[in-house]
Amino acid sequence: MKQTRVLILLFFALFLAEGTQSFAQKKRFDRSKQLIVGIKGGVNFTHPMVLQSHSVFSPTGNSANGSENKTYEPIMKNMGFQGGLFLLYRFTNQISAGIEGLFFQYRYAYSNTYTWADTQEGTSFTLEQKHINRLHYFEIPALVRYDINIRKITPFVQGGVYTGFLQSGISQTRSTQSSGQVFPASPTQNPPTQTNDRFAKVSFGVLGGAGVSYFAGKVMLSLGGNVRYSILPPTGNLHRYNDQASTSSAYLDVPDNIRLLNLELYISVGVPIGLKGGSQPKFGTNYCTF
Amino acid sequence: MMKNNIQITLILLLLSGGFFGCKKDQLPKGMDPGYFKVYDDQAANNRYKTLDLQETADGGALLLASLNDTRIYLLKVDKQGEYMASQELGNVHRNALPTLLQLNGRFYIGCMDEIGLFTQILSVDESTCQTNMVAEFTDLLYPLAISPIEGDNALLLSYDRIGYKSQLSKISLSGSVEWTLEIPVNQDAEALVVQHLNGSGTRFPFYTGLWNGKYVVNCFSNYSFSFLVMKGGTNLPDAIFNGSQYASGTSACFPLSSGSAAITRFSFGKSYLIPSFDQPFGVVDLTDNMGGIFIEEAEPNSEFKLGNITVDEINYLGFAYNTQNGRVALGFLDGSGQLKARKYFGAGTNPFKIGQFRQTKDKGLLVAGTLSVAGAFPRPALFKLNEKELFEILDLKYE
Repeated sequence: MKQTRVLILLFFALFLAEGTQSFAQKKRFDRSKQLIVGIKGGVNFTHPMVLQSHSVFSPTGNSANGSENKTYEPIMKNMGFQGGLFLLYRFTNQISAGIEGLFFQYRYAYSNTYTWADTQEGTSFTLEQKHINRLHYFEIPALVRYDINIRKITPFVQGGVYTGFLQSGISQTRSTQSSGQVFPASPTQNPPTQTNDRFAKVSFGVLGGAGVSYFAGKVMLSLGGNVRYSILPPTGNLHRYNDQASTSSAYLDVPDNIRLLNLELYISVGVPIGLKGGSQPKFGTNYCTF
Repeated sequence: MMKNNIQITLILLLLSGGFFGCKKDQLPKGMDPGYFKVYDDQAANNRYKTLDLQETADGGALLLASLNDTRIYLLKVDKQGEYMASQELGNVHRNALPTLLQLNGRFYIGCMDEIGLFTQILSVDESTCQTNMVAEFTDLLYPLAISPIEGDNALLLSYDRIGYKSQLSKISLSGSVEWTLEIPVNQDAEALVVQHLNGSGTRFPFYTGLWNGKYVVNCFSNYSFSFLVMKGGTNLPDAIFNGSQYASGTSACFPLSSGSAAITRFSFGKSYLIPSFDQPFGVVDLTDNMGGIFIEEAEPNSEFKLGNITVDEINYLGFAYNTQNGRVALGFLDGSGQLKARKYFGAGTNPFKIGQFRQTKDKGLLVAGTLSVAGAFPRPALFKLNEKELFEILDLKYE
């Protein structure tokens, strides 16, 4: 986490330094009709938006309402990662469209605390459970990008849609049981469990974001961020309670019906491929000053 | 122009992937999702044991459970398995018989009067779980099992503490006893009965039932725990299979449409399934000679529940039992006695034990049992599998 922040800061410093120089030169570049291929990667942060709560526990007359509600971890604690390839075609100097192929990990966690009291013995028993879910998708975002200027340092905005195909859903539970009388608090980390059938096989959503690209010779270096919003909830009704691994009864865990709001931060490196007028493709070979 | 078209095509493909791909993750139209629910009680000293369930007219379920071994607890849940009402019966009514009777569309339970030890029948309001006494049988002490037969009648097993006899009676909700068959135990088994009732000793799988017009009863008989086939009107059984004293016997019997019955038995801790057992006549034998398939993973002297499960218009014999690693296994046998599938319920640190399973009107399946939350607090729990999930268990394609 700390390393990620240092990297981001370094990247911004580089852009600021180069941006000042580029702005002084007031150069404009012809980048139309170029096909750029590259790699991208980074980290992402997930905020689950609850549409409908679900719990294994059904409150009865003898149990307090509320303990079955989940407490979700804040977005910055739900860090996943992503990486893959992208293809970008520049229709004009400022408008381009692209497609990406990403391995995308969403991570989100929540916890429950349950308490039982023995009125005869005067004891109480507390069970705290933290459930961590990691969803791995092969995602294909399709984006339209608009470059705000055509200088060496180019801020841009982009937006589009994505479809994701679930590769694996993994759930892990950490339990802590404590009793004032007998047991000391003893956290237990259960092994990760494959819970693919609790999640939808296909995800779909919209995304939009902004960033800045630095064009250096043959290389386009970009730093950007996208916000994703899943239109289709990643959790399914079909096997919410009765998944193959019996997660609901083994760990007393059942996923809420949620949508994912995700902040993706990435760095990408791209190079133009194909020829433009038969010459070596290179950013900024044809430019003029204002 | 060409490249524009390619881009547009790609985007359309993405969109269609999202919308069509998600279809197979969805429930079929009109089908309710399955569920798994635990009905908690924050009083740590309360221990529940689910005994039986019945589907109610609204698609929900009514559960019968014992609380701290002898008290009676009734629970009503809705179609989604959410708690609606519950009732813990007063001190007078104790030791619910492990069958929730459904007679003429109404629900009843049998239980024991705490002081007089005699049999009581209570009606149960399926919405509120409120009970009303409908009949008392002061001559039938220590009720142990009950099952519905035709009309408003039921078969009741009780124990005569003075005459050292098991008694099989045909009773009616009006409070009359049509007949009582007496089965001599030949020794004082009251201590065993009391330990069975208050949970301090062996819990015997007492049951009664109908099989091809004859009555079956699993009870104490002739110094042992025995399986008997009887006719009404005579104390002489058609067939009797004695256990090895009280260490073996049968644990469940389910008559099949073929005329035979599926029977499970236990013997010194081991469990066996007999998928098809012909109705015996004129037989005196031991339950240990009844044969059957050894169920390795069943816990010692596991409870067994048998019933019919219809999936894709095919009838399967369902048999559920507790495994040694704290789960419930539900097996599906086809008409030829071949195991077609097995589904496990419960896992991990929350052991689950079978109460009962019953098929629902929407072709799903309810499996009720007792889940020990955190391995410490036994609570009523209920699984619902919808029709699609049953298809998946049997590896059938749901259209």
